[in-house]
Amino acid sequence: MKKIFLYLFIFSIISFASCKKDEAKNPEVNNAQEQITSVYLSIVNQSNVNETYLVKWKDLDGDGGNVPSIDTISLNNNNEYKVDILVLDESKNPIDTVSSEILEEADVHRFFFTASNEIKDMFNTTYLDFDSKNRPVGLSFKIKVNSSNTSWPVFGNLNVTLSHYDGVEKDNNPSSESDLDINFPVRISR
Amino acid sequence: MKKALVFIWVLMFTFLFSNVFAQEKSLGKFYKIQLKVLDSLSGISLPAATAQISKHRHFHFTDDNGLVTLDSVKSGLNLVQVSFVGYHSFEKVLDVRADMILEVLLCPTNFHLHEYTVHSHELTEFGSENQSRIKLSALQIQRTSAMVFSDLFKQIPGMQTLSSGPAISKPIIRGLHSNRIALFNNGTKLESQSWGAEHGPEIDPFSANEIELIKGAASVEYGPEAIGGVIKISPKPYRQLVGIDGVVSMNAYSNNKAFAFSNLLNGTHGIKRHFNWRLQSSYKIGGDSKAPNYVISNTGFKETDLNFSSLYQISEAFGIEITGSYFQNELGIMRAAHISSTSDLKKAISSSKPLIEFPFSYEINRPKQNVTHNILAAKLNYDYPQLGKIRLMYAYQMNHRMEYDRGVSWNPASLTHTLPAYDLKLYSGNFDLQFEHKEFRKITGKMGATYLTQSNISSGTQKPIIPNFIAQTFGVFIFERYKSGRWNLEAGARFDSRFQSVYQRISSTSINEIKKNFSGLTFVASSAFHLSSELQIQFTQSSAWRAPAVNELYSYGLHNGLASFEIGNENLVPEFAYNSDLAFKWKTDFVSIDFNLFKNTINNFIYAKPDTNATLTLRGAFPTFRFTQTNADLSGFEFQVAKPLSKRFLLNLSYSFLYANDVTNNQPLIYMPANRLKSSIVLNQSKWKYFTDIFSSIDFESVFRQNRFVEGLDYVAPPPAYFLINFQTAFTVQTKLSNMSFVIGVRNLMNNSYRDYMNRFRYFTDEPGRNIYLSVQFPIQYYQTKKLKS
Repeated sequence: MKKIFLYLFIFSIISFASCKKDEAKNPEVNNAQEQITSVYLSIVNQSNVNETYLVKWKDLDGDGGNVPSIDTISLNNNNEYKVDILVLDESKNPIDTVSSEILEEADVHRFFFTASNEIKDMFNTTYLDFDSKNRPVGLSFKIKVNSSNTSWPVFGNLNVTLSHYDGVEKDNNPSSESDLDINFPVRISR
Repeated sequence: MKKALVFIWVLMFTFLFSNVFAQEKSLGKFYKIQLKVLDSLSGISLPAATAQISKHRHFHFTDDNGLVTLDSVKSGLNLVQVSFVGYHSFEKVLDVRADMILEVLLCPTNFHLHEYTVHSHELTEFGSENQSRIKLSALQIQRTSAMVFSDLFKQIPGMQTLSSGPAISKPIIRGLHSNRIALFNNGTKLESQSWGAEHGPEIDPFSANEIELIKGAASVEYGPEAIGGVIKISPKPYRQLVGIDGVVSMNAYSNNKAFAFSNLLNGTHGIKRHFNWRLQSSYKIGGDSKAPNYVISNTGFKETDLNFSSLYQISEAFGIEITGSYFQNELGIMRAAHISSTSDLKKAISSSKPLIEFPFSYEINRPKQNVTHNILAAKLNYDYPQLGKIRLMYAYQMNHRMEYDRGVSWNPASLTHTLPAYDLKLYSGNFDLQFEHKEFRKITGKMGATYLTQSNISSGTQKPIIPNFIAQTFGVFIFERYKSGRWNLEAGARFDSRFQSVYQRISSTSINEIKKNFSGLTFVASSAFHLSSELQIQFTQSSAWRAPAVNELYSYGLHNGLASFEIGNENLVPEFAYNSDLAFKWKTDFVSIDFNLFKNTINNFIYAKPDTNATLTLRGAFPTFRFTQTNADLSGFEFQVAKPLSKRFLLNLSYSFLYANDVTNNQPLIYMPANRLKSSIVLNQSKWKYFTDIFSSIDFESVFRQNRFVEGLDYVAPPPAYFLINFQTAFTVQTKLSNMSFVIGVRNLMNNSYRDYMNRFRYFTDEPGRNIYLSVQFPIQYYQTKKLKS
């Protein structure tokens, strides 16, 4: 009699364990993952509004895997450009527009633009958008290229970093938590 | 839900026993009790002391070595009496169910302290005696007052801890850790996500009564994975007498304002039916740890543990034991160590203090871990009088690990803020059949078969770090010992085979299945030779293996804590360790010396090798590591001297040395612990005023710099050497109600700022500063059938 309980007990554990096998054989479809796959810069020449183009930094399959595809920013000396940033999660269907979410959370986000040494002196950025406390955001900004250089073209890099301020007040310094940290190659012609 | 599950377990086994109780038949059986009678103060054996079993009405006398054997002792309760002129006599009712060996310490009449130790055969399992091992006694464990399991081992030569901030750590034996160490909790091998450096073992240090450490490869007895060694945690033995008693203990720690409350209840019922049970529970809560100059934010923790065991001896020969444990914790992960981009990492490293610091708090925010581990085990023991013992064990384990990252910053409503990034469930069922045969021509031994089935289910908001898998491992082994005169020879062999199927989702409609099989044959041969009663030499040659872990085969992704991109390698083969160990023990009245020399050669040692190409992501270019194999050699020694300075003072000195080399590439193995030297002055006094069992120790610990590393592989070179002073004192106060034991101690007495090479968060923070702790422990007695005279 008592042994029956023992067998029942052991059997119940075994059968419990084996039903987990079916769950293991069927990995779940991962939908919850949110990420940034692409950053697009829409660049408009202010002296010639017809000169408009799109530059991308795109890594569709997420971290690792295929190498990201990266475009070059081409600029001309003595010109001013308006740049709008579009941040997307293109792994989702429909595509998730992360930049509009960043705009909603503008009080704790700020973009930083850093030009590499080769182009630093001829390169100037200005913020065009501001948060509720009138601090820069950077989804929209202006690039001014101005140099008395004589040998063209000049090649360099533009680093775009998105700082997230959590537990610290947003200020003029990048935070220690970055959501984005990408480099665009830059080519400046006469 | 989980609490309900615990309740159901309790119900299940009470139900089981209420039925088992009904049918009970006792067979008359005789046992032997061997006594060794010693002076409790000097430890000198007492010849010609009288010993008797009250039922027998005749005396026995101890021989020159203080030994006496009482034979024909009937099973059940027996009153044993030992007396000697000038000493308090000893009386104890023993519940005899097997042959026993007792050490009786008689106290001189001018003293009041009474001690005895009981070694019952029933509780000791047959196993190797020769391999290098260390036992931590209940007293040592209590004095350590460790809140985190791995902290118990910091004082042992050859042992270190691998930590990820103050609350997460795991033991390292001679440079090896994680799934190169096998952990046994109350006879059940802990099956968890042990591959992760930030995955601490799911064991409550307060549940441990005794811990046994086996250094070096030991697969024959303990199965695959025991490459670096084995840690066995045993709970308190069941009560010998009918009745219920318990222990309550409370601990407080100043550094992280932590508290731990733990209690243990122990009961024995029925004179003939012997139903034993034990219930232990702990609750712990701690806040942020503090380095000397700042708060290490978000390093608080909470932990709830429950352990139970029950043994029912159905007949003389047949016993059934059911044990279970529930472990649940929540651990904060240091906020400033959660790195998402490479420039953030560089910023964090160049800063002298963590970049994010909040005031002290008990709050646990993301990033954090939440781990539940449940074990339910049933053991059947059958004792064939002429042949030996048969043991069948089944253990079911469920490990549920949830790791929460910070969640996406741009969407507060995102699921990444509520769901774990990684949600790993591991279900294991383990069958274990063992036969321990009786002595036959001076040969004793055991043989057995094991079967382990595992299912891993991986989910979460991030790409899974390890895939789903189902694995089955079969094993058979034999282990024999020949004991004659001064020689103790042991030998054994084992074969294991693991069948593993991995399931990866490729798309919403297709799943990729990969099947693999790994097998390993291991052996052990060892000899111990007693040159004299003071000098012993042991030599062990053993081997161990393990199959590559699923993360080593299939992981693909970023580790936030390490800021590295790890890529698994599907073509890995099992690693095999061949370990030689020479131990030398010399114990005299004026000095005791322990020297262990080892060489652990590991073929196909699996490690993450840095790749020359970094992985470019939207958060910077991360250094990339690919799992690969090499031949490794870990050699070294541990040296320990204990020298009594006077009757009360003792000087201890220990040094551990490790030399770990990648033989194939002729370069140092990375992330190997530095050598350390420890000395301590210990005071032992049995009585002073109102205090008894006084113990005081001041420890000086020097950890050297790890100078053996490969330049440029790590973001930061190994930290400099450091020096710590720790102090602790323990004593007992006898009151009318109870004996209260106290432990008061300080770690890092001088409040030094230092970093340890084996802390993965050494890029970001110093180790915690001064920590003062207090532990109070007192026994409680509910009832007891016979009061013993003391």
